[in-house]
Amino acid sequence: MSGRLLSGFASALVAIAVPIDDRTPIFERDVQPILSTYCLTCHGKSSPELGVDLRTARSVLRGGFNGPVVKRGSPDESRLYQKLAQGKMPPPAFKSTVPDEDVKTIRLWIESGARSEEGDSIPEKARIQIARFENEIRPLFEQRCVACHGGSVPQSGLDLRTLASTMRGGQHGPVVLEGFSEKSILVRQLVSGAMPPPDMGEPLSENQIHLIREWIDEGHFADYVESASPFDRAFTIAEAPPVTQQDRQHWAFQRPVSVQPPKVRSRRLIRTPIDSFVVSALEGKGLSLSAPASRPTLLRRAYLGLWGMPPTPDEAADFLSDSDPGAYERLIDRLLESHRYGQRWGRFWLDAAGYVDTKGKDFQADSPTLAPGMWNYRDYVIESFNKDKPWDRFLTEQLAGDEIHDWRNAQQYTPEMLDSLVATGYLRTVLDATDEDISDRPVDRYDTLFALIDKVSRSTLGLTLTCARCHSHKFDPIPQRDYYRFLALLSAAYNPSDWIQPKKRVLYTVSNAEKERIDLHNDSVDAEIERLTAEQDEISRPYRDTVFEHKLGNVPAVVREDVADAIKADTKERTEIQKYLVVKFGSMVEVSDAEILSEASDEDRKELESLRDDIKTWKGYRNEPQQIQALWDGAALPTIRLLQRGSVESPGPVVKPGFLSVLCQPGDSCLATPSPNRVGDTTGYRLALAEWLTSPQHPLAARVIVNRAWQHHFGAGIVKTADNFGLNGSEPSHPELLDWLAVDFVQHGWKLKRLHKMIMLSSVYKQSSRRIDNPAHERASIEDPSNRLLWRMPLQRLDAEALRDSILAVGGQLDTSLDGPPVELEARKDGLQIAVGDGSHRRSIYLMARRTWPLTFLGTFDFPNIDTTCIRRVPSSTPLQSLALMNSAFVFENAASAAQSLLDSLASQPQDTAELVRSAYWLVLSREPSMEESGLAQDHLKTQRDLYTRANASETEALSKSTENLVHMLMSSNAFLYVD
Amino acid sequence: MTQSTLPRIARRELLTLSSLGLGRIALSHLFAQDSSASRVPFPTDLKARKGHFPGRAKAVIQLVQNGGPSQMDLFDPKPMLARYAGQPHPDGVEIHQPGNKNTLLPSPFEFRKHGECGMDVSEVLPHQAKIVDKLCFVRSMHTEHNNHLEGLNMLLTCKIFPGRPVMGSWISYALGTVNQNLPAYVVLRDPEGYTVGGKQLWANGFLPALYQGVEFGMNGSPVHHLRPAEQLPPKVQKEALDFLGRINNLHSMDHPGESELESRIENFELAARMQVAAMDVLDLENESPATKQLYAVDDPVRGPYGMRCLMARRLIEAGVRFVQVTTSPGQPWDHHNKLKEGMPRIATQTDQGAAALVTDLDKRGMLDETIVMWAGEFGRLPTTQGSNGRDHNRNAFTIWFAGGGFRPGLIYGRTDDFGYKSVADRVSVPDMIATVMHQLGLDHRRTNFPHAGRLETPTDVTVTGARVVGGLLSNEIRAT
Repeated sequence: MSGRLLSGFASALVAIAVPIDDRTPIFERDVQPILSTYCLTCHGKSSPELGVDLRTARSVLRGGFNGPVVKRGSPDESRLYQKLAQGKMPPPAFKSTVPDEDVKTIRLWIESGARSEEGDSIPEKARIQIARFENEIRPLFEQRCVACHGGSVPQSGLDLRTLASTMRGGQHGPVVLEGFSEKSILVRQLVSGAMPPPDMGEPLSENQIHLIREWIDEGHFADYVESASPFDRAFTIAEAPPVTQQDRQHWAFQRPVSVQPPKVRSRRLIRTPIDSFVVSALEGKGLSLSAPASRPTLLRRAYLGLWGMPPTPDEAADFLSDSDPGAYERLIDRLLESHRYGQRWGRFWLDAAGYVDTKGKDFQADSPTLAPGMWNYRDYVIESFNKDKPWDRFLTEQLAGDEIHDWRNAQQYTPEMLDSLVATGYLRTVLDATDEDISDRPVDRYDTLFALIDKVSRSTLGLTLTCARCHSHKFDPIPQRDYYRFLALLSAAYNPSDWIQPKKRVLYTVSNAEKERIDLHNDSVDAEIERLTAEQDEISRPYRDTVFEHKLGNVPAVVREDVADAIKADTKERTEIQKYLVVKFGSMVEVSDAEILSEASDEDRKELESLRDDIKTWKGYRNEPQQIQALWDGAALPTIRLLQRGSVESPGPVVKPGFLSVLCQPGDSCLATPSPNRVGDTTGYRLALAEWLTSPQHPLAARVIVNRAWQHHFGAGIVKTADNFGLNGSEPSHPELLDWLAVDFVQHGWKLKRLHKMIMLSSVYKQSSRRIDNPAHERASIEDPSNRLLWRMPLQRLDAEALRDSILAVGGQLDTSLDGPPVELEARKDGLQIAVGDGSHRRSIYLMARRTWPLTFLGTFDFPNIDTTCIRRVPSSTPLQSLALMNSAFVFENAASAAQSLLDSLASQPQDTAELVRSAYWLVLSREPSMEESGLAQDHLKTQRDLYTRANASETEALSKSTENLVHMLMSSNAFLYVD
Repeated sequence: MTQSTLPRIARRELLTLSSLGLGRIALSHLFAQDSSASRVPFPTDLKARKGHFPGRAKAVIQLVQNGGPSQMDLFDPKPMLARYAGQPHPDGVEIHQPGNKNTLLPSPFEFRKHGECGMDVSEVLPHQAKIVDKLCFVRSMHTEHNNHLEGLNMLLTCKIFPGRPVMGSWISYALGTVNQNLPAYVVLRDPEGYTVGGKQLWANGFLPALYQGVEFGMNGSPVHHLRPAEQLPPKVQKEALDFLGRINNLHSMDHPGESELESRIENFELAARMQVAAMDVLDLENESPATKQLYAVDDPVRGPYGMRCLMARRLIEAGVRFVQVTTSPGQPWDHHNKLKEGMPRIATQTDQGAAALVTDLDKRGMLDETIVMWAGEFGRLPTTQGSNGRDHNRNAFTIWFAGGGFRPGLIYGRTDDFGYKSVADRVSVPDMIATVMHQLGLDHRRTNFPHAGRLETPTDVTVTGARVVGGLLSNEIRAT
């Protein structure tokens, strides 16, 4: 601070050459009223944005986090003046501008040396508060704190011997925040009893703490303390602890190395290399795989695994009657080739991307705020999975698709160009609340960046970086500095000091050049429409007036004149009373086009009709390009500072864009340089990030995605904490297998379909999930009770979408078409969100995705609240789920249509209940019922028929209702809800 | 014929042991030495469990006052506003929206002192005024954000951004619930619609979904899907569920040792019981006319809120842990203009119900073990917005508690002469949450759940500095 003050004074010495007279502005008299009116909402006491506090001459001259805002004598070098003169402040959102006159005053004030009444003296109140520190608080510190927080090397860099050193704070930043004792670290440490340390005697008394709090809350001292600048310093050791050789030893920070699949005793079990690793680990414990699953079980597992819906009875019959040894492999190929695969697996990535169709906070149940065209990203993801786009390419497009084509200057977008722009939608799905004017402040902007880092790091790196926002990571070797380096990589696009509100952050499906052409075209169309409309108005005016006068007769005479005036008044300028009159009587005097036409002379009517048609035709000429949600870089990288304790209010040293040191080679600075492969007017830092992440040597990218594919097949990943490969995450159950898969994945072009096939052809995947009463399983239950070694296939519950899609599929109603805007949900008054209308039978991935308002049925079955990202859904088991299955209209409807199709297909033999049960089992559960099941089901059908008959249902009705009930119960059964 | 060879309980125990592994058994043995032995780390069910220490209260009713009720027009009179009416606020105030004038606006309402404690309550809350000696007022609240949604997030989760569990979720997670036939955490909202914030106000955040608030409808079916979507002849559903139970048991026999399947079978049984229990709670047959009158359930204006308050009492009586009651839709306490006309409207809707709830709980001897809390997301400014309204103010607001060991008749904390900022005995929102949890026998620092590599707590004390406010309590703070 003193540095800046000094330079301020220095410039004052040279600048006060301007002659001073009575008209020379003085801060308190001339400038303060202007600043109070326009600036103090944000640059006042409790929230000085970016540290710029405009309340006093002293605080104005002190400047903010990014340096001084006033240079005495030189308005053109003073940011305060610049921002006002250019109309950048107050932010447009506030819809107020400082009058030219006032801007001129400020110019003059700066030009004439920025004079103030206060001068450089200290006001009375500050004097008292400073004295209070000296007399009351310092003695307390002397007695209890300075033994550690004093001397030549104060603990944590915090020196409590003087007011200046106290205000400077320690290596973690300031400890006193004037006016806010409860936010001051000093107070928190005292209150929680953390300080003085328990072994250093009693905690401070309530009274002592009270004294300190009162002093801080009272304030009026911080501005008058000469202390060194809290930023523009080197990183402290706490902010940038060196990453040591030992830190790099953690398995996940080292490159995956592929070892030969181990030799095993049970060679007959080995179908793919995966088997070697898994069987070898089992044999190490004296265990083995379970018996192979039955073919119907395997069939259902494969369908639900790759498509998220069961096979139809015909599809099942086709497969089961094919005894060719290659039948199963062909089945997998067929499933992978279908677009239904992308609709299933794309959803997993949409979870990771935290996909929503909405923008902003979207807090109203019944009126979603949509991000126009966001759904293009959803379709891009599905298509990428279906095309088996190499994963490295997929990540690159999403992180930097805008940096690999010169779309800015393209006459027309190529399909690849548009795809890549749409792909950056990945970076646009985090909550950005800045559309609302009041929450477009630096703190809100940074919140968007913080959320983005959380998402990107957990979904691509399998690390939780978020801890390092506030302090170097407690478990992983991730310095706080590295967090902000990472943030800086994204800051040319999400620039906290030159922010674009989401409503303005849009591109179109057509190029800029085309958009310009379209705008021109639309302008000329609009001009023509305007001309025709004027002509129309001209002709219809007399008729309109006649009809209006006539209708006005119906309005009570007392207000007749007022109503007429109110209707004629400009909508924006109507008084409250006029607004009321318009609401109350407007419809009575409204004149319709039809009324005008019937009033008009024949000639005019013809003219009006032809004008109406012309206008309609012209309107059809308008061209409305579709919006997409994309991200692109602004002109340059802003200055990004480390934020002490993650707070925008406490910036620290400047950081450069870079990666995570622990993932770079020792000795490498790990700073980023703009990618030489960037195309067009962009910084290339995100492309550099993508290239770093997808380099074949990267320790994490491939492991992370291979692990997640594994997780979706087996219910849990090889690393169970799929979003945390760090020291606090869980150990891989099969470390060598994970590495082998990762290396193999990269070597073979980052292709997921190949990986699926390798997994699904393995004996591990094909084994049964059942625990059997035999010695082998008894031993396995003791050696590996949680089945981490996979001695049997885990039983898995269908996730929300697979359940809903399966119910629709069984009901014969599922619409598996691709692409398009989201299916709207209806928010019912009782709180249910339901799908209605045309799209209501579409696959769940196409339903409108909202952060907290999912389709109720999906939410009940653990569809996540989208915060930043969801890497693993945790299936819960609640009675509300049972109620939804038992009672919801959705299940009733699908059970009914399924029953109808069953009965239709058996129309020739309606009394054969055994056959009916058999068909129902094949339709719902894709298998034959056991003898016992068949018996129970037939009994059930009979009981139900009796109950319905007793309730006076006809025989046909009783038959269909009982069948419906059977299907309903099968769809609610555990056999349906679980994949075994 | 479909019974497994082992009795269900024994089987389940076996499953738990085998699925947790030996390591966990040894650990739980160690825990048994500890006094808080019965606490399982990170439970994922709703079984009732002990807190960290014996709590004073067992349940909470949270009356969320959406919109930011104005402290200086309800509970915190400021004569200085009248004396300096129309003059500028000397230091200027932090404003939120356009249209603000820095001129002081006196309250249009009359205040009188009430009860033995002499609490000032404005004329718009005549019913609450009558019970001030049962209430514990905090005039020195402050929060962090001037925007509604952020303020509401803060009020319920200690942080301004979405994604964290609300206090009702934390409390149901930490303590479970006694009546397994009803949800642990029930939300009673206006059937006409949601308040601003919607479901976010009872979101479980990163806690498992079963700790989310369950919306109870006030008429018809209280829980979603409580009744079949189609009308079924007698016994059809019962027979169907019997059949379902049988085929599920067959399935379980095929998959021995899968505890999830067991819990799902239980859930169907529970769902069937819930159909009865939830309808019982709604049935006001046994409430006396006097009680109905106390809550004004038949009054067209006061009735809807009164009804929700009465229902809240019935739910707590039935063993529900946490009940949240919302106001009418939107943000009814948000008086940017026409304070004088607007405030009496929402005050009248809610006043009698809130007061009746406290009176009724007291009469039934339930108040001692039930915490009632009345709070909005922030307060309002002493200055004028438009010509006759007040803008948001995060620096001061008033809330009240009743029961559960909160000192009755207490007036805690103080704001400055104009009511702009809390100045004495300031209480932060995280303090408030820490204190409520304390009364339930929970240490807010030790109530935790692993999320994204971190042990999250309801108050995140290292960031918020939350502390239990002993001054509000008639009992001692437990050494924790």
